[in-house]
Amino acid sequence: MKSDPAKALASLDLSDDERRALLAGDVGTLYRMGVNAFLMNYLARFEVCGLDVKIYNQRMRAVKVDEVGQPVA
Amino acid sequence: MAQIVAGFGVPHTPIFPHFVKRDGPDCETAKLFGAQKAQLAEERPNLIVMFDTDHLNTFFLDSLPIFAVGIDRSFKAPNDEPQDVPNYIVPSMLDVAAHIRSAVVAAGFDVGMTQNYSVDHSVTVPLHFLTPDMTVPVIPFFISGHVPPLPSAQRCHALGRAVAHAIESWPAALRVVIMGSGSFSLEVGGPRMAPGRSDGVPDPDWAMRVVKYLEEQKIDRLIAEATQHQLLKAGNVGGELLNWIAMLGAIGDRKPDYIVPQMQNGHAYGVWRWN
Repeated sequence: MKSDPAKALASLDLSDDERRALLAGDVGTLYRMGVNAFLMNYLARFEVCGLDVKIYNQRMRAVKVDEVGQPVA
Repeated sequence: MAQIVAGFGVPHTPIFPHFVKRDGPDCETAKLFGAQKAQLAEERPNLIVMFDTDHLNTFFLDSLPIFAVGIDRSFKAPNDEPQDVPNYIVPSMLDVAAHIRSAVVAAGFDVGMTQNYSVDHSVTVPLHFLTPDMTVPVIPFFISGHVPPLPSAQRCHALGRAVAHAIESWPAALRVVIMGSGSFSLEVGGPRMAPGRSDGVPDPDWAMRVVKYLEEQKIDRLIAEATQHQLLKAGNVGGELLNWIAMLGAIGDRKPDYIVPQMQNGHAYGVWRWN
């Protein structure tokens, strides 16, 4: 996952949009798709898909949510 | 007959073992867990039953019970690599765990089970501080507090009562401590994190209100206000409060010795002793 994330993800049942967003570290889009944020946090912890704590934090905090954390337009 | 002798409410922040190793025994977290460790030792427990929410490590989205109990002679901890936590083998009590499950199912709670299992930081971190020699058997009781739909606070409190009845019907003399593990308000990895961090406290007012209700023994009020909406408003792991509510159901209506909040983390340390 560190050296070749596309290869690591190749066998997983992901849509093109999901795969594109994951490889780009676009955690905001993934969150809006319904991906569990707690699980995505591991991407920052292990610094894969171009993410670290700072970048992850910025991208995730940019998602507009309601008071229970659900994405809003 | 087995008897419940105390209740403990504990946090389980996975980075705390690292912070305590780095900052030493005089740091706040070391002192708070240290006080609980001494009080727990005074209770001379033969068994700890810990209500806990797994962070998708023991279970996962493909198989996720609302309630489950760990039934085995021991379990491995932790399974999610929190920093500066050794690999432990924690003893458990298979026969008592199976008895508890049978009794609460008979009482109307459809509780799943796991065998040959491991647990994550939510069980391990409190034990790392409170029973580091891992000689006290522990039965983890899992409550799904992260992934909606969450069980209701009323249901978790009643489950705690049913677990207490099950324990008290066990014929051997055991001194049992009940623990509830988790935060009152916390967002991990979600949009409501604090800037630059991997977590945040979205609803500090709620966390303080929980502390107030615990201190003032207003458990009915706490249960009434701990709706799924409120728990989710408190963060994506705000449902961990359900573990404290189940613990309260198990120990009965009692005044705490103390509740010490750590509001920067949205959680608290609580102790209930009555002997």
